[in-house]
Amino acid sequence: MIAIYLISIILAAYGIGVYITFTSSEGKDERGKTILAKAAQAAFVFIFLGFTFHLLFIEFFNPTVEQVRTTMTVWMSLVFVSNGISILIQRKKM
Amino acid sequence: MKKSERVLSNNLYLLRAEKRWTQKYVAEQLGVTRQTINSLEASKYNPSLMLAFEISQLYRKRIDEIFSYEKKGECGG
Repeated sequence: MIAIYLISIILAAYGIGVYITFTSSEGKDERGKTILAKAAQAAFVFIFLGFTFHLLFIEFFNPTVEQVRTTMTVWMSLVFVSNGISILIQRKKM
Repeated sequence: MKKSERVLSNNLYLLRAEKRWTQKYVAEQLGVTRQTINSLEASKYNPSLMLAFEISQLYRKRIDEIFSYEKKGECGG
C-alpha cells in the first residue's frame, strides 16, 4: 500500500513539475497555450474515466475507506502524469 | 468528394537569414518564445492570424509573400 502511495506521489510530482516548468518557460505565448490546452484535454479524459470508475466502484463493490483513498490517489496521479506526458509529446510535435 | 490535403508553408527562415537576425531577436520583437520561432520556421506550428500580421509587419512583407497554402508536395517559396 505504501509503495502504491509512493509511486503515485512521485508520478504526480513529475507531472506537476513538467507542467510548472513548461508554464514558466514556454507556456506564455500562443504556441505554449495551445500545447497546455491539448495536454489538459488528455488529462480531462482521465478525470472522466476516474470519476466513472469511482461511481461504479462505490456502487457495486462496497469498498473500504482505505481502498477508496488508494484508488483516488492513483487516479489523481494518473491525471497529473497524463498532463505532464502530453505536454512533452505536444512540445515535440509542435 | 475528397478534399486534397494542403499544408501551410513559409519562408520565415530565409527572411530571417536575409536580415541576419537571430531567433531570439525575432522572438523578442514578436513577444513569443524562441521555441515558437523555431517551430514556425520548421512549419511545425501554424501561427494565429494576429501573429501572422505581426510577422508581416516585422519583415515588411505581405502575408502571402511569407506564407503559402498549397497542396502537399508542391514547392513553396
